[in-house]
Amino acid sequence: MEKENFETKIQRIAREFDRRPPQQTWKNIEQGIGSTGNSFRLRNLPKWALPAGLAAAILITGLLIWPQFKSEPVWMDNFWDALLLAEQENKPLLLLFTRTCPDCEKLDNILAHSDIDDLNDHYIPVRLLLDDQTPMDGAPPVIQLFSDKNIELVHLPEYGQSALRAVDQDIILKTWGQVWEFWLEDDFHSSRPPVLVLLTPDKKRIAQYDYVVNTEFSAREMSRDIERWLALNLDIYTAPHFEGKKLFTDLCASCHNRNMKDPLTGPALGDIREKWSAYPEEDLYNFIRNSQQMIAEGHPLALASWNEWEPTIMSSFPDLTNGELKILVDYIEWQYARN
Amino acid sequence: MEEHLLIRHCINGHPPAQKELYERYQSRLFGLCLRYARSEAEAVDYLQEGFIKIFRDLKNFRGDGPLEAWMCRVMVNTAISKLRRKSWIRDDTYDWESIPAEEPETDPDGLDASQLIELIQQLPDGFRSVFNLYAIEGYAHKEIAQILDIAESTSRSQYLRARKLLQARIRALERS
Repeated sequence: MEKENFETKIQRIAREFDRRPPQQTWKNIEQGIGSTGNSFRLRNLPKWALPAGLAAAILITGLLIWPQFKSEPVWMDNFWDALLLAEQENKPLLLLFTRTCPDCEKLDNILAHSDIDDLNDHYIPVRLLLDDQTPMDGAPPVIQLFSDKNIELVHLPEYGQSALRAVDQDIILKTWGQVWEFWLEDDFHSSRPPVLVLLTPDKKRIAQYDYVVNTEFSAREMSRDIERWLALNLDIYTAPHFEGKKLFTDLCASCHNRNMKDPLTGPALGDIREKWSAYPEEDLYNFIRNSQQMIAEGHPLALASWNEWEPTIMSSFPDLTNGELKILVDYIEWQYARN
Repeated sequence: MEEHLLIRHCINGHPPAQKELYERYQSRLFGLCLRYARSEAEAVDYLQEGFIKIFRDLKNFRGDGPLEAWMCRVMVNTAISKLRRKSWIRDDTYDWESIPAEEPETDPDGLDASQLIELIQQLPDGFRSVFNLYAIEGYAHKEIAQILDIAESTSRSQYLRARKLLQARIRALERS
């Protein structure tokens, strides 16, 4: 009780408190908002003045900005434009999730002084501001961003706009900033900006770089680390069978040898498709998804493999689709043939 | 002039309307800035920048609440973003062990407003922001954590320390 008393009293006294600012203040504000005052006066100018002025301004900014395209990554601020460009040029997107925060400022500096722009022919850089207050007002393509489809468009009469709702989390996304923040948490499992994400044009994650995980680096070290990270992942992306390689690296490589020839914790996978060729390919896929079930059901090849490798149990990957498994097995065969 | 008319004129960049809006709210908002600032000069800075933002963003004001509340929010955000640029929470080396242990609650009613504001103003940066946001603006710790980009627990502990320190200073003032 006492505690509440203290707080409510403070609140009442402080909220009622006011004081006249010095006279000079308004003059400064007036100067600060001078541009709005000018637009008022513009009405007296001839009609062609505005278009002509705009054209000149665009020309001048164009000339000023143009040289920078060659030297520095110019972060795009419109994600959808960037995505379109990425699709057209078939280049990955480099997303920078950022906001106004000390860490973000540090990373901005690091990026500005790094050499990642040497590679800027190979990716489209775009910056997503988590504190962007622009209402997203029901832009429908946003829904495509989220991997789980539990997102719906709702209309909010009290705000006079539509927004996105995460169905089972009771979260309403009203501004672009909130959309980016939700995306960062939902798909990239990170809540602390700044974060760099390399994304394919069809919005699959290639790799991500969390600033907070790497704070032990000095600015110079981190700049180098990010250059390496970017170069490496751009290589992976441009390599043939990129998606299969990524699936293999993420899911299989901890137990199966990358050279596809020698056994590791699990068997060598190189001739896997050939081994299963007597059966429908679907059987192989089901085995990868849940090997123990296939063994229990008594599939002859599953049993043979179990007899050889018992008691090692292969992890299950029930979420993999047939399409993904085909890409994965294609990669395994291709890699095997190369070695 | 009625407020919605005033707002419309301000959006259209009508100088007398802008001045009128400023005059209506200057004292109230300057009071707010004083609570967040370390000095009067800094508060004037916040006020200027905040008003420039208010005039710039007024077209985004949806009219879904009182104008004053919206202006206060812009002002608070301005003050916080200026303070935030210095990563103060971590640098805060205030020796709060030196604050005497909890004594009976003090009664701020004995103080006049400007004395109290002065005491708030003298709190270290981190304490002051959290105290203002929580006790006076009425934000939840969760929101404060987001605004200041700190952990929720940090906000709580900063608040408790700020409260303790403020109480000690009120007591000291009452004794003298």
